[in-house]
Amino acid sequence: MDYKRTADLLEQLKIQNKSYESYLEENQDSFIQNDLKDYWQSILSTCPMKKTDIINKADVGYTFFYDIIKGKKIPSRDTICKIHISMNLGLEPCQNTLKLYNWASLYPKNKRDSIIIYGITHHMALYETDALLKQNNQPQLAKML
Amino acid sequence: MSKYSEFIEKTLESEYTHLQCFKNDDSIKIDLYKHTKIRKKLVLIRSKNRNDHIFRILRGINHPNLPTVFDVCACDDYLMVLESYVEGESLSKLLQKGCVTKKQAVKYTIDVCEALKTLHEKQIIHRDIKPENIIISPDGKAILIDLQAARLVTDTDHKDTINLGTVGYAAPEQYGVHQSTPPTDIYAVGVLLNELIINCHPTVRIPSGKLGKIISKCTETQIYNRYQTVDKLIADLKRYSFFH
Repeated sequence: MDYKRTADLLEQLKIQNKSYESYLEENQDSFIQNDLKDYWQSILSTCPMKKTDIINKADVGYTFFYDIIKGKKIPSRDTICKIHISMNLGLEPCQNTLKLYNWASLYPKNKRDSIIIYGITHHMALYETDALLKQNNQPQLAKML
Repeated sequence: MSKYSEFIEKTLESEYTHLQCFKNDDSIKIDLYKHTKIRKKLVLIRSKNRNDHIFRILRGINHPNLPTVFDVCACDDYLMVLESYVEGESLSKLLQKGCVTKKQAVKYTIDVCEALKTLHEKQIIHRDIKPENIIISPDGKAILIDLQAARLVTDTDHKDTINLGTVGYAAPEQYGVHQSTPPTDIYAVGVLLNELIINCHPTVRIPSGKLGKIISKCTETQIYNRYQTVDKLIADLKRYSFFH
């Protein structure tokens, strides 16, 4: 999947003499898929980890995780962050998933969000991110500590 | 196998001695291990029951009447749970030996209720309270074990109706389509207390007096007529214990 950065896509949309059809043709792969099951399938295909490893690292219930990726259950904002921290695919996929579920994106000016962003972008494990949250008197994601 | 389960298996192999297999059937395997250096025992449960979310909630909680869950690992085919080993004898064995006084029965029931208080606070219903699942420690504490049938109040998994608890201890609503709630466990506590005091089911006979009233209130057929929380049950049991 050729996933382009949001900022690059925005720049392309602003180009005056470019038709929308050509934009669509060039960036088809970058759209968030509305079908949740297909979306998770595409995300998981980019993650080298086994599903059980994601489950254990994200500290989510086994059945719950499978219900999420089948589109049967709606995860909370924190659960989405936990799964993305464990998958270690970077910040943008996490923000895309949050948007897909109509959750607010991680906002750098919010202290708790900024710590989660830091954890994701510095490839920290969930327990490390939780340690940093606890250190800064913020509610933890998984309460592993 | 997941990476973490491989890690657990390797650690057990290298640092622990396998002492005993408590149970080994199609759905569950329970093994006891002892650390070779620090001599601490732990229990490894491999279960096909996918209620890892229950154990994840309880992980790390130290409660005098519950085993400590050290860690949880989801594998492709089963769930692995590492928890503390509870030393002692099961209440069912003590009952068979005729070694439970009335005072102890009330005390053990209060202990079980204290464990349930913590579980219920976390929206967990045990659903299988019975003498076999209660261990009496050498210092006389009752510890509630075996959370294999446990569910969250909010769980809507259809498999919920398969695990009914144990016949006799299961509340009437466990045979229907109603969700398990704290009064479900309270029903089982009432049956337990009756068995401990007069060795029969409340539907056969209930002791007279205050204790009988407590047991009756626990085992009301209609959920809304029972104790709704263990707090009130604990209060009544402690009041009884104080005056008798």
